[in-house]
Amino acid sequence: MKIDLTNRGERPEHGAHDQLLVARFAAGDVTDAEADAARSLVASCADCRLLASDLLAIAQATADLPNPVRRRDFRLTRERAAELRRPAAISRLSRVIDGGEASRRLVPLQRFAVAAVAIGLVMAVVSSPAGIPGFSTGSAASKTAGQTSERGATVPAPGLAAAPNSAAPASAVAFPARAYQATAGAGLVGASPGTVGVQKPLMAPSAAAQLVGAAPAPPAGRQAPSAPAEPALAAAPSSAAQMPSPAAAPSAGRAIGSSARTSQSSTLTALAPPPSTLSGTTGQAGSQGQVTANSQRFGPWQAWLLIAAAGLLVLVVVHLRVRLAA
Amino acid sequence: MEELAQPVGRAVDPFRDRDLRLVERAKNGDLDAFNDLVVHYQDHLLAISTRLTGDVEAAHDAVQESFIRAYRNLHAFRGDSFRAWIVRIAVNASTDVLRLRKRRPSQPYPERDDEPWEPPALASDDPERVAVRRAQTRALSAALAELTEGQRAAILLYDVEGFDYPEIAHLTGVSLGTVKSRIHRGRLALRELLLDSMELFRD
Repeated sequence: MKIDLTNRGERPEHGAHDQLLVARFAAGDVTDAEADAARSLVASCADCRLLASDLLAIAQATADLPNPVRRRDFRLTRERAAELRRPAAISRLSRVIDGGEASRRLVPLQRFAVAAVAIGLVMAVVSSPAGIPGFSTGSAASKTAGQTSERGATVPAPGLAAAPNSAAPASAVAFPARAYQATAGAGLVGASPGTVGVQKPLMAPSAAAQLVGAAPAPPAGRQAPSAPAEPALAAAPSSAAQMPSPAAAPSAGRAIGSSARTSQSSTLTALAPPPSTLSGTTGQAGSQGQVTANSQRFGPWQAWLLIAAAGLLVLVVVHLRVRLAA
Repeated sequence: MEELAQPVGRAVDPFRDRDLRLVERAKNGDLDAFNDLVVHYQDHLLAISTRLTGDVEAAHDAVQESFIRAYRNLHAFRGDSFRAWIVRIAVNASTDVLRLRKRRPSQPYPERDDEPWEPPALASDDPERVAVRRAQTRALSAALAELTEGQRAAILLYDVEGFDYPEIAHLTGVSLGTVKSRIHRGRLALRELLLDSMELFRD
């Protein structure tokens, strides 16, 4: 605030005096040289003396201001302390989930939004083409064909990959090691790992299917299906017309890929063509698969993701509304 | 006039060791120790906060927020004076409350504006003296509310809390010169604002 230092019934000469010096003198905040000047001012000017006296009286009155009556006890309860010990983000999240931030009218909407986010996220993960690593889902197996693979490479359309005599079950998508065990003994039992998949990437589909059972179970750390599995499969265009089961297509492909990876993963990776090449080498069926993939971009998992996003949006809006209304 | 050179009593922290023991126990998870600190300082912080905000309800909120912040950040306490630390938190919380109120000015209970927030007078008090004190409190509170936040905080910390200039500079995060300037100019401003009612303060 601007201080009006004009004369108010004070002597005219007082306006020219250094009132800040008097204030500092009253507070004892002056050097020796300044103290002399202040003393002479206070001694010679009645208004400066009154000013110094008033400033002291104000300081004393400020110190003597009465204390207010306390209406709350600020001690923390055990529950409150436990809540405060949690990280702030978690506390806030729990308040949001609990509906503690919203007014009563908004609590049902907020809880509905939380449920939408939770369910949407879970279902989006469960129904995504990749599925949950290490878990088998029927939807993941059935939807994989005709959609994009985990790395974005085109997965052959239904009927492209699996041979009629493929011994690999659909569950081999997520449990390739079990597929190996279940089909052990079929086809090229005891075939050398070094001869599998890598040296004959363009082998006939029936032979590829037989290789599924021939490959030894890969080490535990290599059981998860991954994109390098597809190249060996996609490189067998002649198999397109022989695939009776859409679900079996990725199964066989991944199983083959896994076995090949087990034997010479580095070589396989080096041999694997880029995704664009894969689409081209699958021929007509591959093109159909690409078309199918493009037309199915908005699948169930995207819908679930949309639901989760909508729920999140509602939560944000409710939160902002509560914050603004607070 | 030599007595003018003496500042209003500077206070040291007489409870420093007690506070540090309680802080150590509280850091180890002893909630009772923290609540002991709360009991020791809740009235003190409420007084500071009420003078800073000029609103008892807002001051209650600020004090509650202060203890919550203190509990959350107790592990970060490295100073040697819990009092200075908690007062600093209270000043910041009160400033936050003031800023929030400036952004969204509201008077939910305008009829309470005339109610003095000080405790009721005792029956043994001289009625005339009580009336003068209340008038003083009202006038001074109104004048304090007119100061800038920095001036108000500096004056209250100096005159009421007894912190010295370097402590106030540390508490408010400004330079020593700024603290001195705020205090002296703030007092001059108070005197200017109270000029019409200065008779209440003169003996």
